[in-house]
Amino acid sequence: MDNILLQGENLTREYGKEIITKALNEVTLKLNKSEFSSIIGPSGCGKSTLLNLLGALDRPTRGRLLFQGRELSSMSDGELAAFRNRNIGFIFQFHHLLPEFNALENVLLPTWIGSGLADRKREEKAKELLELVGLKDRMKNPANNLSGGQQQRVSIARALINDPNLVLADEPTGNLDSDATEQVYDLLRKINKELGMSFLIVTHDRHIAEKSDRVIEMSDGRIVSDYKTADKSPDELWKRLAPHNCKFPVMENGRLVCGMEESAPAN
Amino acid sequence: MKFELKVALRFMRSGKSQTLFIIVGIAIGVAVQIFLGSLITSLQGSLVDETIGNSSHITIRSEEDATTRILEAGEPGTLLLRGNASTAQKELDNWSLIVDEIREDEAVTAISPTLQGTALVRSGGTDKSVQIKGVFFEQADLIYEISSRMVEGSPVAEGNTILIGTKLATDLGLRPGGNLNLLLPNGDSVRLLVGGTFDLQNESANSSLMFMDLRRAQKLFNTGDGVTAIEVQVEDPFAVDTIADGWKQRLSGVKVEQWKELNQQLLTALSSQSSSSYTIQFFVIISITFGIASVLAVSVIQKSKEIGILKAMGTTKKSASRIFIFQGLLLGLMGSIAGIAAGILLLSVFNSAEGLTFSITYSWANVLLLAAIATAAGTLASVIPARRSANLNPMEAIKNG
Repeated sequence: MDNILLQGENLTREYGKEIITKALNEVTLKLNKSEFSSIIGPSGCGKSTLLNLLGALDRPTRGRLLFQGRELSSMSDGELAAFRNRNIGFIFQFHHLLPEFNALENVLLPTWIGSGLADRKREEKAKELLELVGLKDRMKNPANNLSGGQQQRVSIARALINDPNLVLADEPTGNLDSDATEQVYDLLRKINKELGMSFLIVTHDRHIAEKSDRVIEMSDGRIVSDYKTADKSPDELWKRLAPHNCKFPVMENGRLVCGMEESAPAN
Repeated sequence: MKFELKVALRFMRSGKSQTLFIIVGIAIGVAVQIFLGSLITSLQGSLVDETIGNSSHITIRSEEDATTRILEAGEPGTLLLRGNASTAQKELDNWSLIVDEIREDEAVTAISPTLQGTALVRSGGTDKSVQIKGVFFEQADLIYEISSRMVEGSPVAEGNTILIGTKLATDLGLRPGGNLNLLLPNGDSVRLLVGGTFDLQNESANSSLMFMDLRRAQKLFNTGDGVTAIEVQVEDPFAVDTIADGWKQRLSGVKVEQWKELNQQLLTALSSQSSSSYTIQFFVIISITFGIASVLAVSVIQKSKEIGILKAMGTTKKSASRIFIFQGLLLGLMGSIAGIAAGILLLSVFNSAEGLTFSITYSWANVLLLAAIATAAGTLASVIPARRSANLNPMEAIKNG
C-alpha cells in the first residue's frame, strides 16, 4: 500500500501585494506514514510557513497539496476546518491552552469542535491520554495553574485526542527548560512509536533533530537538504546540525557539544 | 449544550468584572424602561379613568337633530315643548332593539338607556336650572357608580324619589327626605322627593345633575317610551373607535359618539407623553446595544489567541462567530432578567411611598417585551464582533503568542 501521507508539489507562498515576499519558494516534499521528521533552519527561512501550509491553516499561493491523495486546495474554508479537526494535531511553542478550561476540558476541545460536547467514551479517552502524558492527577487543574512543561504535555494530549494522521509541532520545546524539553521529546517519540502517527516538528533544538527519523533543512524558503538520520554517522549528524542552534560548540569528553544553548529564539 | 455556548460562558466568566459591569449597565437600562413605561401607562390610565371612568364611553343618539326639528316645526305646538324637553336630541324610538343588538357585543360592560332633559328648580326666590337624567337606576349605577358615592340618604331612584348632586342639595338647602318643585319648560310643576345626595367628584354634575326613574322622566317630558340616548361603557376605553365604527355600520338612523371624539385635547396630550416615553426607551436600547457591542469588540481582541487556537483545531467561521453571538444574547438576557427584578423593585418602592394619588401597575406582557427587545439588541450588538471573530486569521493569533 501507498506509504505517502502528505505530498506537497511546488508549494509557493507569497505575502504582500506591492512588495512581494516569498516565504516559501517551490517546495516539494513527501511525508510518510509513521515518520518522525524535523524541520530545521534559521529564523525566517519558511519553516513555520511550510508547517501552516501542511496543516491546512493557510493556502499556498501556487502549488498543490495532496493529503492521502486528496487535493486540499479545492476544499472550502469550512471543509478545511473539518479536515484539520479530523486529521491534524497541532502543538505550538506557547502551549496555547485555553485558560478558561481545565486540563481535561482542553484535551476534549477538539472533540467538542468536531462532534459536539463530550460523551463518556471520549472523556475516558482524554483521561487515558492525560495518563499517557503523565498528568492523570492534574486533570481538573485550570490550564494556567500548570507549569510550562505540564501545559505542553496537555497540549500534546489535545493534539492526539481525535486520532490525527499527522501531528505538526512548531518549536514545541522552544520555551521549556532542558529537563522539560527532554521529557516532551521522549513523550513525542513514544507516542510516535506506540500510536504510529506521523510527526513533523519545527525545531531549533539540535537534540530533537538528531533523534528524528528524518531531517529537513531549510534556508531562504527552500529545502536545502532532506535526509534520514540513520544514513548519517552520529558525528556527521552532530556537525551538520551544530550551526542550527549553537553559538559556541566546544569539545567535551571527546565529543563536540554546545558550550552555550541558545535561549528560545524569536520567530 | 452546544460547544459554542460553553465557550461563550467560559469567556464571559473569565472576564468577570467586564461581564458584571455590562450586565449592570443593561439592567439599569431595562429597569428604567420598565419603570418609565409603567409610570407613563399608569399615569395615563389614571388620567383617563378620572376623565371617563364614570361616564359614557360610547353614546348612541338619534341621528336627527332636535334643533333642526324645532326650526322645522316653527309654529307653536306640542313639538316645540317636547323638543325643548329633550334638549338637543330627538328620542330613539327603537332603543330597546338597539340595546338588544349591542348587548351581543362582548366588549360592552354596561348599557344605560337615558332620557335627558332640563328643568328649573324653584327654591326660595331663585330658579336653578338642573339636568335630569331619567334612567333605570341599576343600569346607570354600573356607569356612574352612584350607590358607592352617596353622601347622604339611600341610593334609590324610583317613582317620585330622586337623587341629586351634593352641591345642588347644599345650594337648595335640601336634605334627603326634603321636597323640591320642578318647573318644566311647558309650565307644569311637579313635586319630587329627594331620596339622597351623591358626589360624583365633578363640579358640574354635583351642582346640577338629578337622577330620576326613566319611566317617571318619560311621563314628565311626555316622550312616550322614548329615550334620548343609550350610554355604554366598554371593557377597553381605548378600543372605542373600532367598536363605534362597527356599530355605525350595523345600526341605521343613529349617531354613535365616543369619548375620544369629545376629548381630542386629552388624547393629544397623552400621545405626546407616550411618544416622549418611547423616545427615551428607544435611546436606552441604543445605548445598551452600543455598550454590549463595545464590550464584545474588546473581548474579541482579548480572546483572539484563544479563537485562533480553536480555529487551528478545526472551529469553523460560523462557530467562531456563534461564540460571540451567544455572548451578546446571554448578556442581553442576563441584563434583562436583572433589569426586570430591579424595575419591579423600583416600582414597589415607588408604590409604597406616601402621598401618591395613584399606584403604578405593570403588565407582564410589556415587561417581557422589553426584555425580549434588550436581548435582541444584545444579539444584534454581537454581530460586528462576531464577524471579526469569524474572520480572524488563526496564524496571526498564534504567531503573536
